[in-house]
Amino acid sequence: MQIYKPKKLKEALNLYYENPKAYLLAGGTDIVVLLKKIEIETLIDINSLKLNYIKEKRNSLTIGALTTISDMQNSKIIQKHFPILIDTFREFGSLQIRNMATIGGNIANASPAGDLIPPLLALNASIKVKSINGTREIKLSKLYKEYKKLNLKRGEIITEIKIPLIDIESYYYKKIGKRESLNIAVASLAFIKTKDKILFSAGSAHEYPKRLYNLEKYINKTKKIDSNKIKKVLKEDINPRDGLRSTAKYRNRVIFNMIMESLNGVD
Amino acid sequence: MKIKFYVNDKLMELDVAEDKRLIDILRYELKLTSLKEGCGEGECGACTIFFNSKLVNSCLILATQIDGAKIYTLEGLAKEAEKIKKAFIKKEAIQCGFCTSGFILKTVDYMKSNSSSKQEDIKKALDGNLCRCGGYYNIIEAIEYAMKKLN
Repeated sequence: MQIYKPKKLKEALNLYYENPKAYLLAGGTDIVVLLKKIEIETLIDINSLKLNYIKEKRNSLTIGALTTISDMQNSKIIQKHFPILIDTFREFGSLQIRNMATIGGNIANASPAGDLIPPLLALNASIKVKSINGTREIKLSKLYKEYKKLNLKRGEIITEIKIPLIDIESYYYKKIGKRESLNIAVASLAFIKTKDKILFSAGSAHEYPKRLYNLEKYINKTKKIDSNKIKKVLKEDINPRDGLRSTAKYRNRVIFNMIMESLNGVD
Repeated sequence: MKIKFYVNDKLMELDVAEDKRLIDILRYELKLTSLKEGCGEGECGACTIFFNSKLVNSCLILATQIDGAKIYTLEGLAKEAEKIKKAFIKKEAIQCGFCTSGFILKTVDYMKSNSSSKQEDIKKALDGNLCRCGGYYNIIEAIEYAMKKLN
């Protein structure tokens, strides 16, 4: 395996453009496990890049891609603005994992069970990506279209996550699994209610994490919620699988239950 | 690659493959065998160490990430761990001993920023450390005892 450790972002972007099949090493909590299973030809260790920060701006929060879960957990800014994320961090891996794992890594790993992704989707997050060709900002919801693949151009590295600062009236996050920690989600649900609308995102419900747009459309326009209609609309949004940890039947049922539970917390 | 880092306050300078794991550097190159390999996947916590003041799984860290780091294993924390070790012995919280180093380091870390000796709080802090001999109850009691005695 060829390992590079660029000292500056420009160097990293050049390396990644030259080696588009390379894996990027951040915290290592996913990559080092992957190394045992597959042959990796090229690894680019990006830990020297200065991408560990949390900044409060007027309309948004920006978080560097190399910010660890622990750093975010301890951030007074995130505790103040996004308690749904604090709930999410609590269920993430274990202390030892949270001290190394990064927000960029969790997003880039693109697991359908990736813990941070459903809440970030429900918060309408976007990401900043850079390549030798420049910088662009894309909505997180546009990043995932296929199982474990990122909808990015050649040589693009995620450098920052941006979450709009909005008035959250209520929120809900639940992760279902086989145990309390070190727990890969069997299913999860993130729910955000603002003054104008309700947003939903589910984890381990589909080949990739996504917003539940059809469900949102129904809920946001209806005055009286019909649980049978919800079940019907949900089929248009998610298609869980039978897998190692659970079945499609169970996942559909428990995601519906979580949706009802989240709505029952609201008028 | 050449790496320079501190282990238990000693400066180490090694030339190793970039993808050599920290757990192997500590156990085989440096003969620090308090930490153990239970799973090699970051799930059991037997390989737990302090890495720049934070608890991590050493089986998940590669040489390329170690340059400039300050690392402590149980061997280097004799003073901090003394009373905890005594509590573990008193409460018979050790059977095979494989998980013990990890749990003691977890306790050292927990005590740094927590004052609660309540069992529910201790239990939550122990996520990431597994015991296969089924010793959890005695381990939790030992930590509770150590906290009460030390505070």
